[in-house]
Amino acid sequence: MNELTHALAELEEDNVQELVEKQIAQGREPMQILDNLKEGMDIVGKRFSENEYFLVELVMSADIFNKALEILQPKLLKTQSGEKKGKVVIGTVKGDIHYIGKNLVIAFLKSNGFEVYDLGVDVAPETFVAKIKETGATILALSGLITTTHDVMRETIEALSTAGIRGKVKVMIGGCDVNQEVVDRTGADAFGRDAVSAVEIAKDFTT
Amino acid sequence: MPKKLAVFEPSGLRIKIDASNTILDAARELGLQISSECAGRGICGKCFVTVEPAANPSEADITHLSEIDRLRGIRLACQHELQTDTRVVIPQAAQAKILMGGTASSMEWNIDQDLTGQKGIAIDLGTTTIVAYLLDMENGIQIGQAASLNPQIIYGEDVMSRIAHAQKEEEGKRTLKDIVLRKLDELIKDLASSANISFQEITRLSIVGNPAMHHLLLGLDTHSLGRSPYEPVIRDALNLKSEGMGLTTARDASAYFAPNIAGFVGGDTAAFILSQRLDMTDQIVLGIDIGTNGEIVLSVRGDLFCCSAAAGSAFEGATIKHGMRGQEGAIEHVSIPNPDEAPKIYVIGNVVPRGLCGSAIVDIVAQLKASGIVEVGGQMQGSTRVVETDEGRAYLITDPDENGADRRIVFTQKDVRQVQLAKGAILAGASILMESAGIGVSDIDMLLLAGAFGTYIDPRNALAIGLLPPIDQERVIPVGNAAGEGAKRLLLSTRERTLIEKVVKKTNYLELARYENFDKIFVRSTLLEAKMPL
Repeated sequence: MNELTHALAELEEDNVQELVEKQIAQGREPMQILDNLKEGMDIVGKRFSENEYFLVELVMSADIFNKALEILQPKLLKTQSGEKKGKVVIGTVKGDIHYIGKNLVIAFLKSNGFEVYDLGVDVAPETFVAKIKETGATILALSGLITTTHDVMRETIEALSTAGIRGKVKVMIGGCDVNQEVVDRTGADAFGRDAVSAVEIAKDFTT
Repeated sequence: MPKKLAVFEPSGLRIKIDASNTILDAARELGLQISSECAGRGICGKCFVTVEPAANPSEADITHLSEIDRLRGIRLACQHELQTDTRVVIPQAAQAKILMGGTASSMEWNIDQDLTGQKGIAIDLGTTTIVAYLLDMENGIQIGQAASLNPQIIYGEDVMSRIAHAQKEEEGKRTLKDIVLRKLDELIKDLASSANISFQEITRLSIVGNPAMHHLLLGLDTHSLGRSPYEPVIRDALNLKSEGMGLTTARDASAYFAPNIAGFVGGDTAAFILSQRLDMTDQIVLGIDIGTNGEIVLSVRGDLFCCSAAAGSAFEGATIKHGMRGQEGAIEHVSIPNPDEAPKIYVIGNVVPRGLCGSAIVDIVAQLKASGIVEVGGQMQGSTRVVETDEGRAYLITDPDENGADRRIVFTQKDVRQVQLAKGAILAGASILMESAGIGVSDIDMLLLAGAFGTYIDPRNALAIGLLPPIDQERVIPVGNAAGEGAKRLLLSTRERTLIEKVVKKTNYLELARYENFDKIFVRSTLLEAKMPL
């Protein structure tokens, strides 16, 4: 395993930063550095799926990845940031202010090559609609941790229909208590159990 | 059966109960905490209290207590039936100090005048359990107690799913209100008939509960409770006619509802504050009520801060594979002296074990951690007694024919994760409350654990897994059903009602999810270690 991939998979924060900076200074291709980081996140995701890692490791990995990405981003712009898999608009729906799960989904989507627009928490339906129109995103990801927000997810998806863009966007939902029944009730297209499965759904949406 | 009076200090709670009950039974009827780890069999020697008058020592007293202690009137509470009216002092020196901190002495209950011949019922309306206490209001003596599961539980374990049900279904609000009203009627009927009194004699009710239970019982709109910024429709205390709120028993009684503090923190927490007089203490006291919705209160010499932590129902056994409530057949405590051998278990009622209740769930995680089977991060390692199941790894607590079991009882990797999330919510809440008030762990004089769960857990293990902030074990004091005690005070006293209304106004509520870096603090709080997450 590559040194950088290994450092990320083992959640060695300082080591990852040093390696990224060193490799940039040595003139390594930024895209290759990014690929190593993505491989590291893949391993983290796999370990999570296999019960070896839990929330704390996921949040740490997302944090390390985001910090590395900040260092890398300016260089990437210069050399073209590679092929994007698709654009995703994401946020926690109105009435809910939880964000841990949403931020994990963002990190894993980014590490898998998606372009992500994060609207934060307590986001009104019209704000989602406006951002989708502005960016031309084809995926909407809605997060809600508490049971009472299922209705708000439905209202948000209805707002897409009202705005005439429901057909252009695939919607995935996530949070506590979501299942196929909630998907049916809210009018979404799919639900994700965790950050790793959210990536699989987004990939399905774009193929 | 003759009834005898027992008066407990320092709380001042009093009960009249059949003489065949032990002192330990009487304390538990009142919702008071006395340590006991052997289910009242005279084996653990933990339930010592000072008794007056003291009966002749039993063999267990002689085994566990020194001669000097016995001469001082110290006895094991499980060993003595109430053969006569008895005064009992529970050894909680630290707790007594808070109660005495202000002008209110522990024994002073401010009972209203002119309640001669009248009875009242204090109700602790919990998300999971309802407890009702019947009191003779003339003297404040408890003459009956009845408890039941909250029947709303079939519509969801936690407050949010109940609120969702009330909003989603056409008749949801009505159904939830009616089902709990009928249960209250049933409890009132049981209490009245067992004490042989008529409904007319019951002239007062007092009800404490979290805002969701409060709103659902009153049939109020719950939309604002379910969505940020989570505001209750009614915050102030209420006084209603029982009949008007829909009760068919004790129709003429007036029902007092304690005021709510915030969307997730209600009259039960206010009653907890009141019963321990956290508004008057000259110390720094952290109070934690671990329920499905955990409430945390911090008193900095009387300045009050509170928050709510969504602990979920892991400690009530609901999200644990072999979890169950603390009833007969539940494993109450577990220890693992040797990881290669079957663990030691203690079963309530000394019968065939059927599952694990909250205290055993805390024990098992702490013991698995101590024996190296579970890591700080919660990952379960391979070991002699770790088996692979279709749900992943699991630690084998009993196999058929081990420890008198007739089935396999396991604790899974997923169960460990559930405990991590639950305890992470509590520890994150406590830490953030402390940080925002500028209080460090070493500043805390006392940690009061309220609620049934707090009564039975082993504080050593709760501290070892970081369910509680890492303070000295001696400073952790279980206080039993403190909300219930507050409800009793509110039942009997107009002065206490005025007091709680003042307390609620001066209590500062903190919304955890909005706290900066909440995510990092929360995930660090899920680690199984005795350490602050900040």
